[in-house]
Amino acid sequence: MSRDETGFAEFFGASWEPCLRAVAASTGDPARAEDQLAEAFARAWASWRKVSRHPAPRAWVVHTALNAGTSWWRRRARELPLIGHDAPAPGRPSPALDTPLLNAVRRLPDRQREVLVLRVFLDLDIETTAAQLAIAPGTVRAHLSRAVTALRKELANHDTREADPCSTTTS
Amino acid sequence: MFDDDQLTESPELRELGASLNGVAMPARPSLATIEARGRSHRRHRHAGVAGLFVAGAAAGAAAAVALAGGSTDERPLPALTQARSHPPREIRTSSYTLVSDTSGKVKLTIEPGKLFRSAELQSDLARYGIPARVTKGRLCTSDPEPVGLRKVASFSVPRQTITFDPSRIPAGEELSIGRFWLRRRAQLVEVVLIKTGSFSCTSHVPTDRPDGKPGRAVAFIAIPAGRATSHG
Repeated sequence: MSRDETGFAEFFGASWEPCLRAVAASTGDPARAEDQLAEAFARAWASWRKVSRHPAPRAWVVHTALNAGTSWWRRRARELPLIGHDAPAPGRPSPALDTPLLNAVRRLPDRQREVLVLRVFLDLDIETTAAQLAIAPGTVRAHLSRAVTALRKELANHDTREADPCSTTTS
Repeated sequence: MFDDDQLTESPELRELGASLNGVAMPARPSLATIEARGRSHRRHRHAGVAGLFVAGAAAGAAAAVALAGGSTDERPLPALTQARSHPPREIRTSSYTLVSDTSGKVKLTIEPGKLFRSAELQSDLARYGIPARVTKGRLCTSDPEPVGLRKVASFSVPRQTITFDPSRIPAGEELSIGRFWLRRRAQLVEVVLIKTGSFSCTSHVPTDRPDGKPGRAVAFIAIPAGRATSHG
């Protein structure tokens, strides 16, 4: 096994789980996250010399996986599912990921959500995130700040509804 | 706007970080699976580069022939020989078209008015690295049936297309594609995964609905009345 192959094998072994969490939190579907992530790792393998020199290879993989997801949704709109089989129902998060907090994450705009998962699940700092997404550190701070504010608001609303389920009136 | 400490230490982010603890996640695929898929990406990338090189080499060879007054070496150029070993981007027959894309996926489009030749399709799929047993009036299945067809094939019924991802076919498994001629001038194409060397074939026409076995897929291809042409 060459040094490149050994390097990729170590990276793959150590990075699969945190990257899967980041993608699963974004998609709400662990099986689809697995598909997208496997595709992203395959691309990383194919371009390992380039990816291994990236300042944050895990962020490269997660970013690629999330982009693969965008393509998946576009394709999904044109193709039929395999009827009644091992495909999960589209558009519904898996029960384990159907929590108020994770649902709020998935309602965030794409860029805010990506900044958030890179920060939380890959522990990326502001500067590395900015380099990965090719945006200014100030823009990363703004996205993160808006994302935290939105999560806080969503959770407060959810808590209010839980505490007083009759507070919503119908006319 | 929060400062950096408030952002990184916010309770919402801490809660989010812990939110997936205890959630069952899919197991990590084998390194070999990832490498096989990565090789498919690399092959397609190199095929593009080889194509450019072949064009350049051919132009260079033509110039050399002109300068030498028509004398040429008849041995094939190495790049040309290598390029021939790659499957073509597209195979078009009277009854179907196969097109590969840069990700290694291969799209099969079936012509509505034509019944395809089983042996020909099987041979053409093999050129793209898709192991398949294509049968006419029979379908081969394994018991138990391997799961995971969803990752290998997807269907677009209105366009009569099936997209295959050869890199996702597990080792020791292959596709079984059965073509059935139905009443009311329709043909049914059914695709399942089978274990290589462990399957049985039946001429029983599948029902018009999947029978609920995991991994099974079915697609109908309508043939307009009076236009059908049958091949072997």
